[in-house]
Amino acid sequence: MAAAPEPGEPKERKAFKLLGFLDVENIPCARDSILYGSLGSIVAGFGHFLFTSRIKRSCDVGVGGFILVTLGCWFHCRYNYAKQRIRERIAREEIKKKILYEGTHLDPERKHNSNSSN
Amino acid sequence: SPIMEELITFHDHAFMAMSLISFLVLYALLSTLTTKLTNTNITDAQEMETIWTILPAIILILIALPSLRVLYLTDEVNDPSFTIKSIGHQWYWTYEYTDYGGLIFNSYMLPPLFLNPGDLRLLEVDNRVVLPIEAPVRMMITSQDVLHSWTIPTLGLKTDAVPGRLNQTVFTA
Repeated sequence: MAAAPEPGEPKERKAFKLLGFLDVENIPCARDSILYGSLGSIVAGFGHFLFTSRIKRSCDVGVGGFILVTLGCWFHCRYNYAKQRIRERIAREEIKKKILYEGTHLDPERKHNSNSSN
Repeated sequence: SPIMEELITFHDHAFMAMSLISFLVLYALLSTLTTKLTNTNITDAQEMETIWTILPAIILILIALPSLRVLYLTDEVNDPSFTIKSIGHQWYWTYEYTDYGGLIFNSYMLPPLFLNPGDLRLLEVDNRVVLPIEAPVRMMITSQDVLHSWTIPTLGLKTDAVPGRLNQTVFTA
């Protein structure tokens, strides 16, 4: 599909995948969720250890914290991402309509201007 | 296309869920292998069994609901402005543009010997299907002989061409 790179061109960078399969670079919100999850895991696990001095239970709390924080950040980020995509789609449609109707009797700006002049 | 965007969104959602489940199972496996706590007299574990029944059911529901949403979105028919018929043969496609005149042509794959530099091997054809952009197109797909499948992966389309059956897919390129 892609042509082989010319001798002077830089080589294509191999996509980085966490643990070999999680494409954090190209999936929106994945990188932030994993990073916040890792931070949450460290805070939860280390905090639990400081209070209880139980290593294994602290590891379990850390893993649980990672999953919960990752999921929470993921859903929050994806919700905002979906809202943004909807706004972009509406904006694109409105720009198309504006170009299409400009100067005609269907132009909403024309209607608005005539109403304000009246 | 919008459908492909929705499919990618669903893939990302399911992929994250799958990754976290895999991570959890891997951790549970490692903990089981490295623990020194063993009890050969355990008879029941009601709470754990309740959790590992209800939690997977909730996870499956969280995956199934967006999946069904995308499934019904792909089945939507939104007043197509153009219809093309696609008939599968061994081994070429016949396309019929009958809405505005009677254009019918066959589309054969170009053998590697006939390719020009930069052409895509196994994908280039002698007569291409021309589709309008930003307009809903209805594709009627069937087959003359055996089962085929008509697909445009980047648009998220795949429909089987079944002999004796007319399948329909509607998309906006």
